[in-house]
Amino acid sequence: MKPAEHGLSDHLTMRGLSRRFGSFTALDAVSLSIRKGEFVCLLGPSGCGKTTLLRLIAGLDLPDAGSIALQARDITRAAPAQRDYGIVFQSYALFPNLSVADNIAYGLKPRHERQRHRLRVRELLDMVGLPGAEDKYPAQLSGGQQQRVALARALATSPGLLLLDEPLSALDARVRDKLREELKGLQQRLGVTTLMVTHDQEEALAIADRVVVMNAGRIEQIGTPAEIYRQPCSRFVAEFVGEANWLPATACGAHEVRVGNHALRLQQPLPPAPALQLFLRPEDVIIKPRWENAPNTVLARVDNISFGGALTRIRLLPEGMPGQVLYAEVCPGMLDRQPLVPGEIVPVELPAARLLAFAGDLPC
Amino acid sequence: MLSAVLRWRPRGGQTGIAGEARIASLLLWALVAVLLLGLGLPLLFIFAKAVQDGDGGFVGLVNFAQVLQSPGLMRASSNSLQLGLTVTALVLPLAFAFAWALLRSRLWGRGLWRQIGLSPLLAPSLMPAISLVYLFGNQGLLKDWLHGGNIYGFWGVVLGELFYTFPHALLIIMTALSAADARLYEAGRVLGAGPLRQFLTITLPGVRYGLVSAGLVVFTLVLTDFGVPKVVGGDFNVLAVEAFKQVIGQQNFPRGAVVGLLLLLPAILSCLVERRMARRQQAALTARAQPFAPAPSWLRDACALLLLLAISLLLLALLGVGVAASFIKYWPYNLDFTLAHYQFDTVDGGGWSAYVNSLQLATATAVLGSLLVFVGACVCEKLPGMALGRSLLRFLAMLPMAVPGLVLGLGYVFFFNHPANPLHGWYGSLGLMVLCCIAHFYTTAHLTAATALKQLDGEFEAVAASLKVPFWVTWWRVSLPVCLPALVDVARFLFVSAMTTLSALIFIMTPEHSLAAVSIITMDDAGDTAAAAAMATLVVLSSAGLSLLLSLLERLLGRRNQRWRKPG
Ligand SMILES: Nc1ncnc2c1ncn2[C@@H]1O[C@H](COP(=O)(O)OP(=O)(O)OP(=O)(O)O)[C@@H](O)[C@H]1O
Ligand SMILES: [Mg+2]
Repeated sequence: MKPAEHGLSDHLTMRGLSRRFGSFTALDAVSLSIRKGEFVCLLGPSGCGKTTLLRLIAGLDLPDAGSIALQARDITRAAPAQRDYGIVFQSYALFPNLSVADNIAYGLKPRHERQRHRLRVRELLDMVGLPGAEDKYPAQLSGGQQQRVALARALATSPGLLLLDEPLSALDARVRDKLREELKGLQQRLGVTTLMVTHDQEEALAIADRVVVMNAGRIEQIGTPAEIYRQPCSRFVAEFVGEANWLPATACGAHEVRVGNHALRLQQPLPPAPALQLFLRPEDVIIKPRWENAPNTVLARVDNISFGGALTRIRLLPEGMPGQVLYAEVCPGMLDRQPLVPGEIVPVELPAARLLAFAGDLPC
Repeated sequence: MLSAVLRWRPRGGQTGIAGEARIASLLLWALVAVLLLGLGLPLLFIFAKAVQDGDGGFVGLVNFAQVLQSPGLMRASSNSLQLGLTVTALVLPLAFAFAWALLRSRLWGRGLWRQIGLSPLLAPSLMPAISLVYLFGNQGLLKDWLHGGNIYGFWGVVLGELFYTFPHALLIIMTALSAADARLYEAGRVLGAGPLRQFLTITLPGVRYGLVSAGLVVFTLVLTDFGVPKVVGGDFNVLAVEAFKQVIGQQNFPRGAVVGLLLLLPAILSCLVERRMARRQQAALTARAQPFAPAPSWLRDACALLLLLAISLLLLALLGVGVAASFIKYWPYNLDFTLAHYQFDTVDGGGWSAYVNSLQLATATAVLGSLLVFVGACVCEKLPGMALGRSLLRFLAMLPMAVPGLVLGLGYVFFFNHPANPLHGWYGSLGLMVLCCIAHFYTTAHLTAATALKQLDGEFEAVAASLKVPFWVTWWRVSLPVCLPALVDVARFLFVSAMTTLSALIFIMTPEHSLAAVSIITMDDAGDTAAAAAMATLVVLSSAGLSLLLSLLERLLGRRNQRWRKPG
């Protein structure tokens, strides 16, 4: 019984889920497994089907094909109440006419055990950092506080799975960062399997154990934040996650390409296409203290230097690549040389280990 | 058939939890059944009756041909048409002027003016007719003004209908006017447009849909109203009265059915036009509008005040003369105060028992109707899946808008008075009248409740389901309390409408079970105008009293709810 053994650690498993609205395919054969206690982020641009997938898992909508299993139990067509999850929506969906305590205790059973519910509510409010808010009404709370109450309500019945649909996107940046950390801490303490939808890649990379990047109803890549960032497996992921330099290139050999009138080496094999785009993160561009004739090193004119706190961002115009702009991000303290000045010509290395090549023409 | 319905599982809905899904579909189909019984089947029977002869044999379009060849009926049709057009042409400018003065001025006491403008809603359509008789009738106070002329006839009916339809037009035009976008006016001012130019290029185009839809509503109301022409029509015969004569007077059901179908035409037509317009208007309203706030202006406010005063005086006169006359010994010769006209002992029509019946009917309609409408709107807006059933329910909820009360009443006669109908025994009972009233006024009530429900977060049910709380608990604990103000509005609307309506009920009431509005007709027919005025006054007072009561209740509720409605 190998499959069962394998399934033990998988809390939630989706196989080949599809959902169509008329002729439009919102989800196209999506398969995904989430381990117990894992924090997974669904990341993708607007309209890529994240919410649709979440609603299928929640039982608020039914798939046209595929199956969903929760703890090895098939729940593809089960009613929401027969699944075991708590959910937080972007709008919070707090009941406006019920106090915070009544909102949180809404799903606690049996209804008449008020005393026990009171204790549970207090415990949850302490946990989400809102002690003493029992008698307030949602309209009296700020957005961040409402979000905490919604979270407490979703956790009140101790569900095995927590579903979050863009829970932080309606908050301002500062509150969002703080809540993001608290959310992660809470999730780790409770060990609740969590699936969060977001279109904010920074948020996804910061909070998730694993990130699922979606595009147009399909999964593009599943991996840890570092994998997604370092080793994007498709051009879409590379463009969507983080910032990058894109250099048009032509292949000439198994590991060699031409960019302008330079030849560059790549560690990884090239995709089988004549026209390529090279991908390089700005922080991987190395500005050398002095010229030496090493591979993948070119001369570039410093065009502009902008201060960015911890990192300094430098706009470079590489020689021999007309019209090409190269951004580098360097830590000023680590730069082993005199401060840069605009107009200066500097040697720049594009490390072979960091260069990735994707097939295709210019990125959009 | 019902079991097949229960087994039917739509895609996109929830299955599984047997109890909850079953209760949901049971609820849905029970509501559909109630509306089919109170609305669908009676309407079908009108169509059936129109193609049958007196004994129930199928005769095709013979009845239609007969009606078309009958000079009396054709004259009644052309009279109705002429009347509808005249009243529409007169009431639209009046209502627009009133709405403009209310919404585009900075006058004090606009709430009060608004109440005066809407006051005709509280009265049966017979009230202005009776007032007209007292003012310009054979013993009228101002009879000399007519220079030997006579109020009975076309212009009398026009005046009465003006009063009766004014608040309906006012409500629609006020809605349209208040949706104005301040940014357009600012742009107009910046571009150097004067007040007249702004009015012609911004205000009028902004309300043109409202004006058209008000015109359609008024036209339909006039065509199917029956009270005013009955009292002051004299020899001026209209279709609505003709339908009544054919069915109740001559028991000529097939011909009555044909006339009923004729009356259905304008209503259906206006519904179609409205729907087309609604679709276009939505596109016009997508921009994010800024609410309009009028700038101070003496001249404009003075004009507005004059307008409001003039129109209010007219409305209050047509309401007040009837009320006053009911307390006066012998109009206009002995103006002493008396309550004698309220004794109703010596007159036909049921007297106080008719009034009590009306009160019962209105109360039952308000209570049961609000309940039904709320559950119906919840099923339409808040239950997942069951797409077919829900669109059927939605269709049935919107249908009454296209069915004049008179036509509905005819349908009830044909359907419930049919000897083969097992519900035949129900005919003439209070229960059937309650059903008829709820069906007649369902659309407005449903739209009010549905609008309130739509403003609730769509995810409430989803959250509740994830917490394993059944939907009815959420309806009870969240939807109902949050929508209570709208439901109070619905109850008020149903009560007042049931209290004042005549058109549908006159067909299904029996003399033993008379109603206030009907007894007004009976008394007026018998020449007891003072008693008729007294009964009409009772109706007005009850409607106004309940409205006041509900307003107080609302304020009380508002105070209790303030804690969660208001931040801070
Ligand atoms: N009920 C529906 N009927 C028709 N189309 C739908 C429906 N629900 C979603 N869609 C379509 O499916 C696509 C995916 O929608 P979904 O809500 O899953 O996007 P999303 O990834 O959550 O986007 P966002 O970040 O904007 O929330 C969209 O193009 C949407 O228009
Ligand atoms: Mg979404």
